[in-house]
Amino acid sequence: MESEGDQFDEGMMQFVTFSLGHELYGVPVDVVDEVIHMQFVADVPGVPDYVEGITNLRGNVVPVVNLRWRLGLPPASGEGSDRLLVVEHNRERIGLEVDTVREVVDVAVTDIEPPSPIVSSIDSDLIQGLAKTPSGFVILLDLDRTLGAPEASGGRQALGPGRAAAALPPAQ
Amino acid sequence: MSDSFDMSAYMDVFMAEADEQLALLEESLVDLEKEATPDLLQRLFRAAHTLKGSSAAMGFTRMAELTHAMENVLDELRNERIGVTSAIVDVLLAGLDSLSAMRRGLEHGAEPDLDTTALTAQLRDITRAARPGAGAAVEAPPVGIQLEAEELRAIERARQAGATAYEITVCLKPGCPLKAIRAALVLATVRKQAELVKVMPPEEQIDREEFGDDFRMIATTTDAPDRIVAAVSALSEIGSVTIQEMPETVAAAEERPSEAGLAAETDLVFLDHELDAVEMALGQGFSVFVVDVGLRPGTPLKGLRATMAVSTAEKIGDVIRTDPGPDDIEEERFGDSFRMVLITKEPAAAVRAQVESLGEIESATVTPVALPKAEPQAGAAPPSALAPAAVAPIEAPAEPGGVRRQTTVRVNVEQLDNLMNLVAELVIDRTVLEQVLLDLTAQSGKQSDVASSLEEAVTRIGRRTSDLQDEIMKARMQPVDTVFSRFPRMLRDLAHKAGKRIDFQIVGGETELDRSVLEVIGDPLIHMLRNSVDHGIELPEERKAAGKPEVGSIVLSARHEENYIVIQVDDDGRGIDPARVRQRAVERGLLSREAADRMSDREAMDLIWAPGFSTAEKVSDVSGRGVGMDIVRNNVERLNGRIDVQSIVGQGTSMSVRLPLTLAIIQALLVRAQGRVYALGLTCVQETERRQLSEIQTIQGAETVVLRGRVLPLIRFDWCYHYTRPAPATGARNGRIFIVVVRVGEREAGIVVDELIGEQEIVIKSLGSFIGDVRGVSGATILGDGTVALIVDAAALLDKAADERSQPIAALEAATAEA
Repeated sequence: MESEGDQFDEGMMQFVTFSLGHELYGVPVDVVDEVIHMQFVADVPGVPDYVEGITNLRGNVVPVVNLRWRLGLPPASGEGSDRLLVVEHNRERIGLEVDTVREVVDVAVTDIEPPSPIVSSIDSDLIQGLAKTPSGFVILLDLDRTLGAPEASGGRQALGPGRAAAALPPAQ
Repeated sequence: MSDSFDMSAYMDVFMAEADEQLALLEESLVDLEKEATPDLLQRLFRAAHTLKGSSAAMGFTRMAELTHAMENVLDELRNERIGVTSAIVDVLLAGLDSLSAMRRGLEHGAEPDLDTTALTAQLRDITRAARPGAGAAVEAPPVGIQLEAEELRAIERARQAGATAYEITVCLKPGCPLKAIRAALVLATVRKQAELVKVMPPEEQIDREEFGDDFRMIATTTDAPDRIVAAVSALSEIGSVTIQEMPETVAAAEERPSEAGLAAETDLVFLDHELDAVEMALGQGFSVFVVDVGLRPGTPLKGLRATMAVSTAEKIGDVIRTDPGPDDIEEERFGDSFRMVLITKEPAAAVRAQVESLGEIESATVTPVALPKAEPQAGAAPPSALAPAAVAPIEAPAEPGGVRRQTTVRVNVEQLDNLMNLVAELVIDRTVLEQVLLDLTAQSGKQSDVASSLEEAVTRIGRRTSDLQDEIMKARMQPVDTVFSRFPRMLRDLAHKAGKRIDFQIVGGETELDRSVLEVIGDPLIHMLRNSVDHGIELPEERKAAGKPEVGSIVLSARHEENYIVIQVDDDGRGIDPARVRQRAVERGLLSREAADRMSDREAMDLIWAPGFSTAEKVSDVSGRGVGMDIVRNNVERLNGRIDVQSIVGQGTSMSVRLPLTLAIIQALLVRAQGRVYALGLTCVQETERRQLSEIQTIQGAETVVLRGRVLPLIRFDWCYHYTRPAPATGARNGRIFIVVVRVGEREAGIVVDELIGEQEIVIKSLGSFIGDVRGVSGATILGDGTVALIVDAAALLDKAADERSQPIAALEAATAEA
């Protein structure tokens, strides 16, 4: 978090905000590469359940993380995920599937509160803080934890446990 | 060690060069033991010399010191003052190992702190033993002392004034601190009693501590030499001081009348590297000429004329120098004449004729250059500057490949990779275009003008892209020797350790393949070779008893076969005995005695690939980890390659690896199953079959299909891959399926798919480190429509299928009911 530390000294920070359901979330503006429309995502076996799969970003294969799944939010009602927020994390680009991307907001450091389990419905471990903005509270995501080692949250066994388990007949 | 300026810019160049020289040293040192030819020794000396120079220039003193010591030993060998022995080769190899270790350490920036004092001392002992006559601490000069005319005159003047010229070598205590200051003190002390004519290395270099432990001086004095030695020895941190009188012949060299009216040439002083090139060329039977070219006075475009003369000369040899330099010539910064130094096999007359045949060239004077005879005793007669001699050197038969023309440039590997990536993108774009064309013709019909001109353009772009791809692939190709060259050494060590005698040969080392493949074939090959040494070749007594020559033979060969490279290891050892394989498999608990006995010999042979069969009992220091042949096979197959073994008991074993020439782009079959698109490398696809779902039979609970009388086990992607999301689509329509028969090694199975999309060249992309390795998937690729598809790792799928011969019948029934 050293880099954030520097920004704290300057008193102001910039965040890109996006919505998931009714809540507003934010990530530091400097990690955001671009925002693109949601597009074809090929699913990949054996990855943690919040990894939606991989997509083609101008000839590069980029993983896509479904933030709703990651944060334990209910599936989108209606239109749902519409945008891919492409962030750079550990020198790799990762697409975050979000509903809509709102704006870039300036937040005074003094307006950032430590995460509180009461305010948000999501796991406070993944939150860096809460920012008060004119458009309401913004939940600042801790990307290191949110995108942290996928291994931690599931095995890497791409090949399923066996035919018996994998081949259950689809409900008809 | 603190660098006063940033060396990082030169680091890459240095590393690349160091790697080259180290590889050359390694290869040649092992050969040295077999046969020490003058040519080989020359090559070794040259490699050590180059490495010494570049490491010193980079400020890597330890590396420079060690190579210097090695170079000295090689110099003694080269001049036949000592003979090649196994012991010497061992020490040199140890030196090489230290150098390689230092080179690896450099990857982390600074020169690693490796203690090489013992090794350097060993090397010095060898050098010392070579010259009992010389003072105990005298080292062979790294290069002959060259005195310039000025210096020779100074000596001559001093001699006429009754002084004597001495060569003084001072060796500081190894590793002493503040070397530059110690050396400066020595110089000051000597200056009190004598006139310093020359200091080697030059004083500026000494000030910057750019020398090993020793340096030399040429001094003239009327004082007794003992007094100088005493005065210098009295200083602290002095290891040894030796003083030798300079022979009169030095002055004589300068006195030699310059013949053939070439007085001007005597001031032609070669730079160190030029001298090296000249020495080497002359040693290999080439001629070296100084060509003075006179242009017609007042000729227009004289820069162009002169450049043409140089390039004409380059066609028949190597121009190692021009006076003035090439830039000055090009920009016409010279009078009516210029000079070049040419190394060539052609006679002087031919050179002259060639150059004079050009327009606006008035004259070309060709003067041969000869080396002054080097005295065998070091320090006895330092060669003076090279002077063109009157007598042309004998036209010795030229050796092929001795001096090469500069037709290559160094390119950063990263740049090549970037180029390759760009071409890969282009391949994708081409596929997109093809798709657009298809859509267009579907809409507007073949007759449309737009469609047909687009078709033409697409075809052309397609062809160009392929050409471009081929060219860049070629540029990325490197000879397999870059990997093979470390094996002779390894084999030698392995054989020594195992007490075996082995003649190791490499065939086809010049065969080229892509860097991506080169980077990964090393490990499998090491294990194959180890296997041949450990299990193939018998002990000498055993071989003798079997009526074979005591020296076993291992041949490593490489060759191209269509778009593949085949690398093969053949040995004439004991071969793989199916009975022994059965025995071992039972011992290892891989199967029961009864099961082993039931196996055919062919099946028993396959056991060598079983996991846990060949896990090395002793962890070797070559591979460092006891990796079994199963891992080797898996690694090869992961690269879309194939490994095969043929063996005859008592006669030997032949193991071959077949790999695609590149790993970046493969031919693939695209298929669709449950709405997902997969790419299957064509190397493992045997055939495709259209079948009905009802043709699937279950045998012992496993899905199978009968294919030309054979029972083929079946694989379904949705059973093998564990997806978290539901499949985008359900299976086959109308009960129609396709079976893609895949084969990896000896294993074969049919993959059930819903649709065959077609064959296509695909670019392999990594899934990235966030996703990480996914078992059963070797990467992803981007298709013409911009979507992404997984590339199937057929080897892993077949493994999976083999594990699952007995799956519950219920699941199978459920699956069949689905259709």
